[in-house]
Amino acid sequence: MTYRPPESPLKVIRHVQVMPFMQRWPDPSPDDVRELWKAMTAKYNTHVIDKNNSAEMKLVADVLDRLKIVDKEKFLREYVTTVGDGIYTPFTPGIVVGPWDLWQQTMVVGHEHRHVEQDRAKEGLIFELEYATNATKRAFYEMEAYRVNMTLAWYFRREELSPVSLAAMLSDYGCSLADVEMVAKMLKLSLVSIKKGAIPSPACQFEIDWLKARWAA
Amino acid sequence: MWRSLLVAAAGLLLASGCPTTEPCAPNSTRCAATANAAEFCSADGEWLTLMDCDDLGTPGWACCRTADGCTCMPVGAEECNR
Repeated sequence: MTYRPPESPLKVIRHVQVMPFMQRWPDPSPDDVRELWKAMTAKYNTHVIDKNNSAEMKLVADVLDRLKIVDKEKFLREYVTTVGDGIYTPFTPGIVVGPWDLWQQTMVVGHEHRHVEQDRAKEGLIFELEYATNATKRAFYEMEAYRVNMTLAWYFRREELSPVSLAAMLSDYGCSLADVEMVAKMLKLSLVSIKKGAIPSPACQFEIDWLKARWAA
Repeated sequence: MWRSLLVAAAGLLLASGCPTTEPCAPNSTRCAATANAAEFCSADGEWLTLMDCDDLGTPGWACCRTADGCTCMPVGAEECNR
């Protein structure tokens, strides 16, 4: 339920395929990003919360820091976290800050709304409990959300995000090497389908449709 | 009191006599038997749905075995059944 952009986005981009007749999509503008976040939060009835001014996130950051899982400042500054209907962001959508450029902000809104879908597909707090207590389930949930990033990168930029690099980010999430390998293989298989046109989540489908409609107008 | 204890004990015996599901080989894949979906064996040895081929934004997808394993592909894709 939490995501930060890779240290170097270029490490994650494995390959850019240039197609002669590929439709060219623009880079998202600050206005595009702001409106996209508005549209997705309205569609899913979610809300954006400033992570740096959130008492509960500061508490979570303290706990993670004490457990030596992630540095407190890094967690508050670099990670987006979703809990229930709240999406805690270290940036204001449409305003570039730190590692959060406009494209990362465009991908992460779909990523986090995949977590919202996962949460709503389960009863009560089952999703939160599984995510917090079972590393393999956590890896699987993150895999589905990384797949949103992969789909958007392929659809709009013909960029292949590296399954291995994405999966390696899970070592920050208390996942074992076996879980990381599992996710790398799942993402590799998913990429085969994504490159054929698969859009494997309703949140991702909504985002693609929304951006296409905006950029076609 | 005794009656409920006996019932609970009998239930436990019956439950422990049931065969458990065999764990799958981690990282293996298969096409689901009862749905149009690709499945992946987790690090825990449990089958997970990798992708539901009927829910990919457009119709015309089927689970098939590719060189890398089972996943959803457009019906008739040449990469299938290798």
